[in-house]
Amino acid sequence: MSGSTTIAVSRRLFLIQSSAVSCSVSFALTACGRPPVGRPDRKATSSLTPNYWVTLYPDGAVEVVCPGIELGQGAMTAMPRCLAEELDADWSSVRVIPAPSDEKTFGNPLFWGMQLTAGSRTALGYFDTLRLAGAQARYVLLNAAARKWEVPLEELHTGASTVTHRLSGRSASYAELVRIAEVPQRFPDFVAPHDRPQLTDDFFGDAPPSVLAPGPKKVHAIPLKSRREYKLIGHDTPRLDIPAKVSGAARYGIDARLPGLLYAVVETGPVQGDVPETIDDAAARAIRGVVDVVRLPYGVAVVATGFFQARSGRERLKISWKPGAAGRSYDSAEVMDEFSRIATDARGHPGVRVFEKGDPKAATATLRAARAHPSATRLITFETRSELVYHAPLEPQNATLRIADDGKSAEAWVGTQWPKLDQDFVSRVLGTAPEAVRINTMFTGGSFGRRQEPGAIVDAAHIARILRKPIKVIWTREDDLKRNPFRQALVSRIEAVVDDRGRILAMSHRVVGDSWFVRMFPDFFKQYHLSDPGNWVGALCDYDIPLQTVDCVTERRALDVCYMRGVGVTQTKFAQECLIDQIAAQHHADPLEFRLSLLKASPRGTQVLESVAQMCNWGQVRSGRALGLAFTPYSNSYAALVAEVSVDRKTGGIRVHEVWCAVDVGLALQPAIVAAQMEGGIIQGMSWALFEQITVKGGAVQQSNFDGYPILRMSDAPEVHVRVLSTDNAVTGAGEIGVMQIAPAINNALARLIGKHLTRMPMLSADVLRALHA
Amino acid sequence: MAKFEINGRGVDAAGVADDMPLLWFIREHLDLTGTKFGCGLGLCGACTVHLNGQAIRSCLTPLSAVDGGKVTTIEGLAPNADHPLQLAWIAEQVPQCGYCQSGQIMQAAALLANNPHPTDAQIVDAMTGNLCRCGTYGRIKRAIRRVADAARDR
Repeated sequence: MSGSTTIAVSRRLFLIQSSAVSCSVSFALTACGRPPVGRPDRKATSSLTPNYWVTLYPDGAVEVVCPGIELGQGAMTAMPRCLAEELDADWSSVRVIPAPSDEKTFGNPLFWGMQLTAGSRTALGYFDTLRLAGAQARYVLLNAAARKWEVPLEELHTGASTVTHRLSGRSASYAELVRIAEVPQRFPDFVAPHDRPQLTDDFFGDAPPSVLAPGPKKVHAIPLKSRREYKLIGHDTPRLDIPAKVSGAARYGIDARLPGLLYAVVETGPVQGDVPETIDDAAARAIRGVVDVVRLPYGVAVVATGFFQARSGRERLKISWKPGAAGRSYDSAEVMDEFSRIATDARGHPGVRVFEKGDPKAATATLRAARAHPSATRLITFETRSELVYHAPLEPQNATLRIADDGKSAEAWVGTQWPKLDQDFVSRVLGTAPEAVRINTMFTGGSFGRRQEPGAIVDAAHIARILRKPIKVIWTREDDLKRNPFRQALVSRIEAVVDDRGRILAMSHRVVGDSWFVRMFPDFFKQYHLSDPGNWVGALCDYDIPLQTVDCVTERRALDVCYMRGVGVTQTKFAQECLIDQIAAQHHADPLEFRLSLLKASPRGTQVLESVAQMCNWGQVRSGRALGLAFTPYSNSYAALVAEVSVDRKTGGIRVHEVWCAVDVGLALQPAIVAAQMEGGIIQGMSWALFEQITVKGGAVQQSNFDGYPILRMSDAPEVHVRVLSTDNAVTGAGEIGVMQIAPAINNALARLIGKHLTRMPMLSADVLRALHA
Repeated sequence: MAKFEINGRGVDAAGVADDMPLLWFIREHLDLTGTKFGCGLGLCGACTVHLNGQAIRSCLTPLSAVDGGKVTTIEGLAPNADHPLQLAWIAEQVPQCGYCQSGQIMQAAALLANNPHPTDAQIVDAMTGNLCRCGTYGRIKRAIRRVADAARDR
C-alpha cells in the first residue's frame, strides 16, 4: 500500500521477518563455472557458462535458463529478455530452456526461495537475479576482449552480442570470445543505482534485500543499465512459445511419449477421501488392450495399451467404497451459510486481527456509535458470498512417469507450477530421495493455480511403483473436475461508518474462508498468526479511510481447496468495490469522483482511474446500459476497469458489451504481454462473475463437465480495451490483477440498472430476477 | 477396419477397435499430438479436426465414421504451418497457454473455407463452441478478421 503506512503493516512485517527467509541468490551466482544443473553433457562443445543462468556457445547461441514456468503468461519470453538486456545479447541468438527443479539455485527469492510460478511474483522476484546474471556474463566477455587486445576494460562497449573497442576500431563477437573467455573465481559487485526499490509487499512484508542494491561495501561495484538505455526490457517482441502453439508442435504434459508406454485412468470414489473396499475387475480385464488393474490407496487404476482401452475398462469396474469418508459431511450450501453466520458473529468468532489503521478502539467506538445513533453517522453493511470455483485448465491433469528397473529412481514429464512439490510427492510414494526423481516440465494447458499441487503424477507414481513400467495417467474431464481442489468458498462482510457529508470514518472488514494455505504451509500459517493472507490481502485498500480493521477467520472444511489466480482478492474486492459504490450512491456522488476523493494520497490509483475514465468516456450517458467502475490495487500493481452492462428484465440475463481497463504494473517488462494478461484475466474473471459455481452435496460434486459447469464462451465475450500505462515505478506482477475488477464493475453497473447490488458470486440470472422481484 | 486419408497419406487402422474415437487414434497411433483432449463430450472443441473439409469433434467421432474419408489435423493444415490463419495467429499473438488453439484454428479454417467473408456474427457463431480458458477470444476474432479482410482485399 502506498502513502500512509499503518500500524498493522509494520507489525506484520515483524512477524514475517522472524520467519528468517533469506535471500539465496548470491551464492548461486558466484559459484562460477558450474554448468546449470541437469545438463552435464555440454562441456565438450567448449561452451561458456558464467553462472547457472546462461551458457554461451561458439556458434553464437546464448542459452538462458528461465526460472518461471511458461503457463501462457509469457514468462519464457519476458524473463530471459532481462538477462539478455544486461548481457547485450542479440535477441535472435537467444534460446530458452526451463530451469530444472532446484530450489537452492532457482528458487524465487521473493517467494520464500520456492521455485513456484504463482502469485504474480515471477517478474519482480527474478528481475534482479536475471539482470545480474546477464551482467556477470557480459563482464566475462569484456575481460576476454580486454586481455585479447590488451586494452583497459573501461574502453570497451557491447551491443548485439559483440564487444567493440572504438579507439582501435576492433570488434569481436561473443561467439569468438567464448573460446578464450575465462570465468573468474569471484565476480565484482554489481549495483542498479537508478532502480526504484522494490516496495513493501502485501503478502511477504519487506521485499528481500536486493543483490543489486547499492551499499557501503559496494564501492567498486559495476552499475547496471538505467531504464532509458534498455533495448529489450520494455520493448515488445513476439512471444517465443507462440509459433509451436499454432503449428501443433508444442508438447504439453499430455503429449509426452516413451517407448513401451502404458496408459492409465483412475477411478476414485464419489467423495474425497473414499477408499475402495471391494473391487470386481473381471469385466474390465476382459477388455482388449487392458493390461492390468491396480488398487491404489484411494482408487483403482486400469492400465492399458491406450487411453481409450483404459477408459473402456474402467467403465466396467465394479467398486464398493468404504463408508465413513470425512468428506461426506461437506455440503456447499451449508458451508456458505455457516461462513455467513461466522462473519456476522464477531463476538463468537473474532478471528485474527490482521490489519489496523488508526486507533482500533476508536474504530470500534465509531461503529458502535453509528449503530446506536444512526442520525449523525450511518452504518452501511455489505456482505458477499463467493462460491467454490473450478480452475478448469483445458488440459486435464496428466503425468508421464518412467521408473527405474530397481524402483529407486524415476523421471517424469508433467505440466506443473511447482516441480519441487511433484518431486517430493513422487519420492514419498517411491520411498526414494527427492533427488532420485527428475521432473521435466512441459508446457501447461492452463494452470490458474491448479498446478501448484500435484495431481495425476501421484497416481502415476503409485502405479509405476507396482508395475515397474512407464505410465501415462490422464484424468478425464470428469476426473479433473471431481478431483480438483476448488477455489475456496469465502464470505466477505464489511461495515462502514459514513458521516452526513459522505466521508467514510471507519471500515471494518471481516473475511471468512476456507484455506489452501493452511493445508500446504502450516508453518507459514503460524507466522501469519493463524490466518491465510490470500484471503485477506484483498481487504487492504488505498482509500483514505482513517479507521480500518481487517479480521480473518480461517475455517478448514472436509473438502480440499486451492488458491486460484487472484487468490482471495477477487472475492474481497467484490465486496469492497461494491460497497464503495453504495456509499457514493447514497450521497449522490459520482463513483469515479468519489473514489478520486478518497485517493488523494495515491497518485498511482488516481492515474489508472483517470485513464480508464478517459478511455470509456465516463461521463457519456448510455441508453439502456450502465457503466460500472472498479479499482483494485494488488501487490503494488494498480488497475481500474469500467464495464458497460445491460440487463434483460424478463430473463435476468446480464450482458457485458464493452470493457475498458487501465493498468500500472510499474516497469512493464513486455507491455504487449501485460495487455494480453489483462485481456485474458478480464474474460476469466467475467466467467467467474457470471457463470461459475461448484456445488457439493453429501461430499459429492454435482457438476461433471462443461455442460453442468459452463465457462464463458466467445458469444458472451465483450470487446476489451486495455491500456498499459508506462510508469517509473518498480516492476510488479501482471498475472492476476486482470481478474479482480470485472465482477464488482458488473455489479456496480447492475446496481445502476436495477437499483441494488447482488450479493453473490456468481451473479446468475436467477439472482437478478430475485433482486428485481424482491 | 477403418481406412482413411490423414493429412494426405493413407492410413489403415487395422487391428484397432472401430469404436475408438479418432482423437486417440491420431494422438497415440500416429503421434499427431497437436490435436488435444479437453472434455471427451464435444463441449470444448480442443479436439477439432476436419473430416472432408468440415470441422468435427474427434473425441466423439469413432473410427468407423471416418472410413473412406479425408481427415486433416493441425499438422496437415499447411505444409510449413503457414496457413494464413496460423500466420494471423502469430501476428495477433493469440495463444496464451495454447492448448485450445489447434482446435480454434481448425474451427476457423473450416469456417473460412466455407465462407471466406464471414460477418462478425458469423465468426462468433462458428467459434463459440470452442472454449478458451485463458480468454483469448478477442484476439481469435481479430486474427480471423485479419484473414477474412485480406481475402476480400485481394
